[in-house]
Order: sequence, then C-alpha cells, then structure tokens
Amino acid sequence: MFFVSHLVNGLQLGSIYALVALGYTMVYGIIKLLNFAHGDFIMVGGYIALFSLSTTFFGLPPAVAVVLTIVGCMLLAVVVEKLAYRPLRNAPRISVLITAIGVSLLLQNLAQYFFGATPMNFPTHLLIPAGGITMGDVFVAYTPLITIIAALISMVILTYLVQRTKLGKAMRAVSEDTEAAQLMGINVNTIITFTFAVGAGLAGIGALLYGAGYPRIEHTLGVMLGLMAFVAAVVGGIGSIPGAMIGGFAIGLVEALVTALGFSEWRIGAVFLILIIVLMVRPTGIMGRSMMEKV
Amino acid sequence: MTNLNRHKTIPTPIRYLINTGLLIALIVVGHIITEGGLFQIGRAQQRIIVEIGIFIILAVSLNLVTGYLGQLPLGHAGFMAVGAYTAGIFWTSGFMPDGASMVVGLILAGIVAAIFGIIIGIPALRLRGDYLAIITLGFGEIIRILITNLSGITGGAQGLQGIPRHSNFILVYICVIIACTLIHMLMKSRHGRAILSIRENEIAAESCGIKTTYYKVMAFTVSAFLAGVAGALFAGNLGILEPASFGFMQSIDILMIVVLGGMGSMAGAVISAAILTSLPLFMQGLNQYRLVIFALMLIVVMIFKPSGLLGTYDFSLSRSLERLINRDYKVKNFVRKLAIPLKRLVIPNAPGRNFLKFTGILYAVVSLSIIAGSIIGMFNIGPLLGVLPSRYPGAWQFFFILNIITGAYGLIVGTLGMLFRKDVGKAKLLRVLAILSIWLLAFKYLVILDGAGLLVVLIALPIELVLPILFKTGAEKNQSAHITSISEAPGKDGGNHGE
Amino acid sequence: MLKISDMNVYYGSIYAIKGVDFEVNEGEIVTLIGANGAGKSTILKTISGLLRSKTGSIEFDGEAIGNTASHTIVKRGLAHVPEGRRVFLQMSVQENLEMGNYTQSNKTMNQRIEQVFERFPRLLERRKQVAGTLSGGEQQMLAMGRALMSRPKLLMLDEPSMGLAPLLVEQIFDIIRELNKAGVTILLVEQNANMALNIADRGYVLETGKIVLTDSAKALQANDAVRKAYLGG
Repeated sequence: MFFVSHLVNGLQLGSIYALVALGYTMVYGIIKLLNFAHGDFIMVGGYIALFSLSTTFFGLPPAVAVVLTIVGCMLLAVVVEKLAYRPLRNAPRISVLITAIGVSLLLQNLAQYFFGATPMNFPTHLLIPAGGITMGDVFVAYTPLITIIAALISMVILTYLVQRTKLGKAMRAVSEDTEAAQLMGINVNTIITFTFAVGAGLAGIGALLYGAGYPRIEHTLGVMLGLMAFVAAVVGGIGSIPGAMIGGFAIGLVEALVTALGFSEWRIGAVFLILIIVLMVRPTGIMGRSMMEKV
Repeated sequence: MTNLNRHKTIPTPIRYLINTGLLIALIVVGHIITEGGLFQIGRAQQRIIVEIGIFIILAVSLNLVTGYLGQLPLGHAGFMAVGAYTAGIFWTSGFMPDGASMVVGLILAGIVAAIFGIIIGIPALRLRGDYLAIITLGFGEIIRILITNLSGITGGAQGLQGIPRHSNFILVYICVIIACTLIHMLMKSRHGRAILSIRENEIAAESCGIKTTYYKVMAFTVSAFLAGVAGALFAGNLGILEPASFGFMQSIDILMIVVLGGMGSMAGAVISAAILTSLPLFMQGLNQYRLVIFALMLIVVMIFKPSGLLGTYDFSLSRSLERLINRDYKVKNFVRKLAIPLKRLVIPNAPGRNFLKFTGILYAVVSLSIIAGSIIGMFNIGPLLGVLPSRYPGAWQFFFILNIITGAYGLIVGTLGMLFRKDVGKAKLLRVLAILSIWLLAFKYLVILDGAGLLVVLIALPIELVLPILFKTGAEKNQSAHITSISEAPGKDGGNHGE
Repeated sequence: MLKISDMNVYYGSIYAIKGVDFEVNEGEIVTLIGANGAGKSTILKTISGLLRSKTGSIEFDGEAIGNTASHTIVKRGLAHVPEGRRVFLQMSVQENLEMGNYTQSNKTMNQRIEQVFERFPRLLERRKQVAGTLSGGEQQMLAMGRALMSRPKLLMLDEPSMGLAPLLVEQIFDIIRELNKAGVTILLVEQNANMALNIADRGYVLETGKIVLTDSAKALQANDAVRKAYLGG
C-alpha cells in the first residue's frame, strides 16, 4: 500500500512533468531555444483555470474552463513567439536565451502585480470529483488517476500527430533541416508558431492537472515546475518526444522515491544530481541522438 | 600611409601611469564623498555604495565568462553564496584578531569559491552552450539547498547572524580595483586572447592548439574566485546571511546587469552595475515594479541591441587621450553613434504608409502625455489643475526628468515614423514601437500618475500589442520569410558551400 | 522561363554575386559551371528564396519572385535540389517523398510516389528505410525524386555529381536527360564541367561572382580557355 501510494504520486507528478517537458522539447527541437518561459505559461494557465472554475469569479462549467485554459495558453505562446522570439531568429543563442529569461520574469511579475503574491486555492472538486477507486487492497483517488490517463492520452495523440499527419511531419522536417524544409514548400514560420501552440496546449492540460493535484496557485508556480520539467526533457534527450515522456515520468518517480525514503528536502537536489550524472555520462540524454558539430 | 607616420601613440609605461593616476584620483574623491561629510551620506546610502561595489565585482566576474569566454553560466549566485558563507563563518568564529581576519576572510572566501569553481567547471564546461546553462543552474540550486540543509554550520534557513561589518568604502573600492585590474591584465595577455578565441569559434581554437578545457576552467575559476570575494563583502555589508538571497533570481539579477551593460565590455558592466544597483535608491516607491521593468528592459535590449548597451566596447583612458592628441575624432561620427537607435528603426522596403502614420501619431500622442504628466508631477501642478494631489517628494525630480527625456525621444521617433514613409520598414518599426511603448508606458505611468496612469496602461497596452499582429501585409510576410532563412557565410560551415 | 537581371548578393559585407544576368528558356538544360567558391550555389539559393539579392529582379514564368518567400516559390513550380542532397535523414524514404508533396494535393500523391519509384527502382527497395542509411547515390536519387514530387516546371540541381562514383554520376545524368525530355526545364550547377556540358544546351561560366562567358554547350566545350580551366586542357 505504501509502495503503491508513492508509485501513484510519482506517476501523477511524472505525468505533469512529462506534459510540460514535451512543450520544452518540441520548441527546442524546432528552433533550438530553451524556452525558459514555458513554466510560466503553465502558471498563467493555472490562473486562467482557477478564475474560470472558481465560483467566486466566473464559475464556468468545467468543460468551458478546460477549453479556455488550453486556448489561453496557446494564445499566450503564439503572442510571445511572435513578439519576443521571432525577431531574434538569427541572433546568437545567448541573446535568445536571455530574452526567454526576460519573458519568464515578465510573466511572473505581471502575475504578481495583478494577482498578488498570496497563493490562491484551486477548486479541484469543480474539475474532478472527489473519491476514487479501490482495487483490492489499494485505493487510488480520481485525481491522480485522471491525471495519468489524461497525460497518456495526450501523449498518444501527440505521437500520432507528429508521426502520421502532414503537419506533424512538417514539424519534424523543420526541426531537422529548416532550409531543406523551406525548399519543400513548407512555411517555416507557420510551423514554428504551430509547434509553440501545440507545446503550450499540452502545457494547458498540464496546468489543469497540476491545479487539480496541487491546488496552490501562485505566481512562482512556473519556476520549480518549469525547472523540473526542463530537467526531465534534458534527461530524456532534449528534442526527442519519447525522451520527454520517459524523462518526465522518470523525474516524477525519482522525486516520489526520495520523498518516500524520508529525504523530501533533498528531492530537488536529487533530481539535479541525476541531471548532472546523465549529462556527464550521456549528454544527449536517454533518447537523444549524438550531435556532431561541423566546423 | 602618411597617417601612420603622424599617429602619435602613448608609450606603455605612461599608459600605466595615467591609469594609476586615474584610480588614485577616484579613490580620493570617493573617500571624500563617503567619509568627508561633504554630502549627507547616511548609513543606508553608504551601504548602497558598498553594494554597488559588490555588484560591480560580480558583474565583471560574470562578464569574464559570458562576455569574454562566450558561455552562459546561470549559477553565479552559488559562488557568491559560497564566499559569503565562508567569510561569515570564518569571521563569526573569531578565529583571528580583527584586523588580519578581515583580509584573510576575504581571501579564504575567494579560494573556497574558486575550489567550487574548479569542481563544477571541469564537468560542466565539457558541455555545449545550452546544456552549460542548465547544469550551472542546477549547481547553483544544489549549493543553495546544501546551505539550507546543513543548518548546523550555516544556520540553515534562518541564516547566519552577527557577522562583523567589515565592508566599508575603502575595502570595497580596493577589491573592485583589484578585480578589474586582474581581469584587464588577464584579457590583455595571451591567455586573454585564447579566451576570446574560444568565444569566437571553439573548434577552430582547438585546432590551433589552444587547450580549450584548460582556459574555460581557468576563466570559470577566476570568475568564481572574484564572486566569492564579492560574496564575502556582501556578508560583511549586511551582517546577516540567508540562503534565500542566493537563489536563481540573484544569478539572473547579475546576468541582467552584464547583459544590459554589454557582454564583453568591462566598462559596460561597471556602469550597468552602478546604475542598476543604485536604482532602488531613487525608486523607493517602485520596488514592486522593479522586476517588471527590468524584465521588459531585458527583452527590449535583446531585440533592439542584442550586444547590450555598450556592446563589446572597452573603455581605455589612454586610447581616448591618444585620439584627442591625434585629433582623431569627428563630431559627425559621434552624433551618428548616438543616433544608431533611431537609425535602426529606419529600414528599406515598406508599404502601408497610412498605418504607419497612425502608429506614429499614436506614439507621438503617448509620448506627449508622458511629458505632460512628468511636468505636472515635477512641478506639483496637479492640485492647481484639479487632477491629483501632489505628493511626490523632491527626490523624484530625477525621475520626471528621465521621463521627459524618454518621452521626448518617443515623440521624435513617432514623428519620424510619420515622416519617413518611404524608408521605414513597417514590420520591425511596429514591433519596436509596440515594445518601446510598453516599456515607456509601464515605467512612466506607473511612476507618475498612480491610479489614473494604470488605467491608461491597461487600455493602451493591449491595443499596442495587438495592432502589429493584426496589420500584417505582404511586406511583413516577406520580411519574416527573409528573417527565417538561415544563410551562413561561406567558410562558416565547411563543405563546398562557398559557391 | 527564368530571367535573372542584375543579381547582387552579399553575405554580410562579403560581395558574393556581382551583377549577374542570365536566363533559362523553357525546355532547355542550362548549366552554370565554375570553380569552387565562384558563387554557383549562392545564385541557386537566391533564386529559390533562401537568400536575397540587393538589386535587380528574378522573373519566373512571367512573375517576379525576387521578394517572394521560398515556400511560395516552390508552389509556383520551381524546385531546388540543394547542395549535399539535404534529405531528411531521420525520416524514411517514403516520408521524404511525402514531404516533397507538401505543396500538392494528397489525392495524387500516391500515384506520383509510384512514378518516382518507377524512375528510381533502387528507392523502392528502400521505401521504409530511414534516409540516413542510404548511400550517397541513393540519397541523390531520393533528393531528386523528392523535388519531382512538387511537379516542378523548372528543376534546379546543385552539384548532383558531388561525392558520387563515376558510374552513378552517369546514371544520374541519364535521368536528368530523361526528365528534360519529359518536359522539365533544368538549371544545372556543376563542378564537373565535362558531364554538365555533355548534356546541356547552353552554359554560363561563373568566376568569382561574375559571369565571364556564355555560349552553347558545344561551343563552350570547344573553347580553349574553358578547356584549359575546367575541362583538363
């Protein structure tokens, strides 16, 4: 029972990390940018979800809230991409990274300015009913269950999108060789924006599930979550979609394991330790391809 | 050819003399200001001046690794923390009598930080740019977690207290001088050239026989050493330490200073550190907006002038004197350099004049109101106009003047936008205008008009954000297409691309 | 069909293409020959929109494409097989061809893929294989097949012979001739001047960014200066 409950925790956390990591990895894959602001997209999504669901604000039906959150995140990502990242398409990597940091800070502080620094409570019960299922000895609440299932379904859909559809293949083409993709008649700008949107859509789903499972919404929500998911993406192999999924679950499970063993203050340290080990031993990550640099 | 003969150069020993003279002059002036009682320098201001010195050291040490070496480490605050806690623990342990312990503590802090620098640097610097950023971020966080959890030695989350206040102006000043001199001499030597070559093209540097790993670790360690010393000074300035002040945010703060000042320019780092650290002094009411403003500035500078305000320009008094002696200055060039921000907005290729006129007008109107608001605030005309009660103390005069200047700048840009129809690139202009006006509005209105201003911002901001996206014509599409094609110069990517 | 006037291209401050004019008429095979670094690839990249010319105009099929985005140029019927093949190494042969079909409708896609396989039977064997595992010659065939998927009126080939064994080079050039007979106009950039001039109708000689000579292919082959410089005397 003990083991199972920690396993479930790990998988729940891992699902959210995986969803977020997918967004990171997709954007990195296509324009080689580590979008530091990605975690903050989730924070914004969390607030959107909270305001839509909560009866003290808009009290909308959950289906509407879900759609609003996902669409809201996508819109935010598209705007950020067009305003802050696209002008820097040909700039040196450091500049773009710094701009991403700037966007992240901006979002956090705007959120703090508008919503205050005190955390707000997410009305989980309005999204996911209380209670759970019992399988033999084991009780699993609905929230973690739905989180894991929703994440898995999203990943399946994403994989289908990327492997089978024309747009998805265009995304892969642009990630691999932007110029050659252009010569295929692919509008690279559109594809990049689309990638951002998809990544942010997943983040929106992640935001909903995060709010449901960890109902504290504050402006710094994106920081740690983003960092962990980041680590997950890198550990799994940045640029690789299956890698992000594996990395996400791995990191989630590691955190749960460390907490289970009683070292919860060290869990972030443990995660980073894993990152460092992975980067030392296999820098391109678990599923990464070896990258060779041409002179 | 005749130019070469006539160009008088200042011989090296005299250059050293000039620089030393300058430094002595500065220290004398500084001492008079802080201790001489000429201006009313209270305890708080003194502490800020010391803090400026600390951040100068942090900035130039980070600049060594970002600007000169070309990497992006995000864990600088970690080294600062190591140094701070080392000094703090050493000083509170009462190990040595006061006089000597001050200096020994500083050196110890630097050395311990340097050791961490080597430990972290050797593995981390094997990785490429983005990965280095992540891993140093990780290390910075691990250091912070270590400090928090080893509460026996470090006082944990509550922090370390009772650290003697060793840091005064003279000490900090000397440290700043040593730090800058060290880096300057390093960069002028062949080691420095090796470091610069790594920034330009690491693989090419390797193939020239430069031991890249050695130099990367060396630069990293020197940077860590100086950060440690700065951390010690920080501890001696505040008297107490807590792990929360050395997190990721602190690293970002330092990074911002370097980025804004110009990565690769030590002078830029110094100026930027001085301005950004002293800003809270002038902006007492505004601390909550500080980060928003900084974040916006970061984004704007990256898009507008990615090399930072001073770029890679390094100030040299001797060189400036040389220019003066040789009459090698042209007022025209100088003015042209000032006008570069304006020029950047003027790009060939653009239809859509009407819309341009519209944003130009909008922008000019916004700037006019900013100027008006500043004048109202500055001269306390508010109550006369029945607008707002005047409650802005004299210290904000500086602010309003700044606002008037930038408002005027916006007015000129807006007007030029209206006039230069033939030559203005609509897309880039709009983008920059939108972003600039966000910056100006957010910064100014929040400062001047409080509630009323905020309302204006909330209405104007989304309009200015949305307009450029809505009005997309062929020119913008072509411009974007042009921007996305990655064309590399021949020779930069091997193969037979040089056709 | 294709008319270039006064093309001037810079890489930053490096002046690469200096006032070039040339044209390609419908049904022709025109070749651009010159030494390494002369600017041949740069010209092709400028035509297909990856680079921009500071001046002058590029007219394709009567329409100006000098300021048009690359993906639109492909839609107009101008395909570019870049230097070094540039196939999508992580995608299969089938998927590469599907990418080539991006601008065309899905309905005729399978039919045309079959046509490509008819022309390049080696590719059919490797249909599901990842492009990175193909040999150089097969990758070249894949790149050409991929370009054909977009139903180009004008096909630009950048050094198709590069890195290929002589027998394969002959095969490729045979295929180019066939394509031309089937109605595709060809603009061929080659370092292997011999083979290029053998199949071309007309040729231009490019030296450090300028066109120094133009004539029919046979005349160029007989030209003394050309023989000394490019054809081995």
